[in-house]
This record gives sequence, C-alpha cells and structure tokens, in this order.
Amino acid sequence: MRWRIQDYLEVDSTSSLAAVAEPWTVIRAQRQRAGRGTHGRVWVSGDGGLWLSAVLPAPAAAGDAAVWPLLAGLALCEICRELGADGARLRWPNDLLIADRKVAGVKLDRPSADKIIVGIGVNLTQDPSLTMDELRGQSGRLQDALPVVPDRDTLTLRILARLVEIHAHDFAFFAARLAACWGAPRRVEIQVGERFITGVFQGVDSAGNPLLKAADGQSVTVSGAHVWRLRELGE
Amino acid sequence: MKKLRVTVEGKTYEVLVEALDAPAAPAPVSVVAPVTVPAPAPVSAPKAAAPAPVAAAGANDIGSPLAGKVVAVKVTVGQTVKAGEEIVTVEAMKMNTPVNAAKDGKIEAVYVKVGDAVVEGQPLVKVA
Repeated sequence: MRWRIQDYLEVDSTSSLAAVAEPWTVIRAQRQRAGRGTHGRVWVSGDGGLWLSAVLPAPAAAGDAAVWPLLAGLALCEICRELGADGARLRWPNDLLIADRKVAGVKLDRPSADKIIVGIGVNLTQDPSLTMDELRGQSGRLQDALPVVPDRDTLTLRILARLVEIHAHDFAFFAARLAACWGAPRRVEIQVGERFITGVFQGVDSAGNPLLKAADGQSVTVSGAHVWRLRELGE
Repeated sequence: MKKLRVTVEGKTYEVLVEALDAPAAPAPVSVVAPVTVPAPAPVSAPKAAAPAPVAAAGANDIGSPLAGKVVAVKVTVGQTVKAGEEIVTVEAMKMNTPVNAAKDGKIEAVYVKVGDAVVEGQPLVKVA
C-alpha cells in the first residue's frame, strides 16, 4: 500500500480536491485560500502550517467510521507527545491542545459509503490569531511548544502511518491510548440543541460519546452526534 | 413524562414526551414504535435537548443514514434532483456525511432545517 501525495503551493481547500481523489491519496498545500473548519467556520491556512486532506477507504463497519474523528485526534496527540510536547492533550472530540491553546484541528468528510477524508490542520509557525482577532488566547502553534519545529514532511509521514493504523483496527484497540490523551478531568459545558449540560469530563464510551460526572455525582452519557460544541470551564 | 399517541401519515406511535418548561425528573426520552419501524436510539442525558418524536420513513422518504445534526439543506420543495445529488449534509462529531438522492426525482417535501438533530432513519426529504 502506497500513499500518493499531491503537493500544492496554494489551493482553495484541500478537502475539495480530496473529494474527487482516490483512496490513499493525500492533498497537501502550503496555503489554503478558503480553508474551512466545522460548521462553516474559517480555518486560517497561511504559510507556516501543515494543511492536508487524506483519503482512505472507509472501514467495513459504520460504527468504526463514526469514531475516526476521535482516533485522528489521538494520532495527533501521540505524535506531538513523541516530538516532545508532553503537555499535548485532546479536547473532545478532537481539538489538539498544548498549554490550553488549540494547535491543530481535525475535520472529516464521508463523501460516499466507501471513502473517508481526514482533514488535518496544524499550526507549525503560523499564528492564526494575527489574522483572526477572535482566536487570540485560543490558538497556539508547535513553535511555542517545541525547541525545534518539525518539518512538514516528517509530520506528514507520521500522520499517514497513524492513519494506516486507524484503518486497520477498531475502537477497542485504541481505547486505552485515547483515554490517556484527555489530560486531567476538567469541568466542561456541552451544548446539545439549545440545552447546556455541565459536568466533569470523564472520557468517552465505545461509540465516542462524551461521559460526564454531574454535580450530583451522577454519570451522564451525552449523545456525541448531537453535540454542537464542548467548552472547557475555567476553575 | 407524558405518554401521547401520535398518528403520522396513517401510522400510529406511542411517544413519551418530557415537557421542558415544567420541573421534571430527568429521564431519557424514548419513542415506542411499531415493530416494523427501526427504533431511534434514546438520548440518554438529563436535561438534554432530544430530537422530536420520529415518524417512520415512508416509501418515498430519504432517511438519515446516521444520527447527527443537519448542517446543510441543499434542496427546496419542487426541485428536481438526479441520482447521487446531495440533498442534506448531516454532521456528527466533526464528520460531515452528505446524504444523496438514491434516484432521479422531484423533492415533494423537506422535513428538516439546518440545526435540527436527527436520529438514524429519520426522514429528511420526500422524493417522488
């Protein structure tokens, strides 16, 4: 099995190109003109980051595909820790945080039953808050967390190796490793529809649903598919 | 929790409904449906917004292949669509799944709007 990497200087969006690419293709760009996050948000993608979309064959079981967003986050978390960012952790579902700043994001598309596109954006030296004011205090970059910033190719190959691993196994294989990525239990507020649920984040169940401990000590499983956002509450 | 009987397009369901503006013991919302209908998964979180009671997908309905939230509705009533054309985008845990028309046809009804929570099998549009 070999990956085919298509490298661009600038594209509108790697995920748009990936939508029509075959499995085991990676679309990578130095810059995106119209990078997108989830829910129509902008993903700032200038020079100084890794912006890629990897196309994989979908796993046989639908339930396995549903947790790939979490497993892609796990891949980034483990890679960052291996590179020396000990404080790298995940915020459900798959925000990669270092020192409470979001350094990388993950967004997946399932354009057909047999393909999944994993979109990954990592701020290496780019500080997106210079372009988008509202990111000040929220975004981070690997440059601030590591003495030596990894180059894009090294990071790309590590990510692709992890994606192969994800494709080859089910959630149970990764459960313990994922549990180790959440960091210390934190109070969070989860929005489902127009309701907000607060509790201490405990991890996820085997379908990737967030588990909270409510103020009264009750354990709550929140329907992950219906979550709009999870917000960490300060101490 | 109130038990109601709801009839939709000739099919009858018994539904358990929690009134959100009255103090109530937190409980999951569940839909009791006829045996022939795929039962939607209960939302097991106190004080969480639950999807509305779900009618069975009729013969010409396109149902959601997964639980999630509607983040895009690409069609309007009266529009003709081709097989494979995207009608709705459903998102769950940051994965977008486009739901496409299975065959050529005309949109007769759109049951959802952006922001709606859906369960697996929930009708999204009617195509004839």
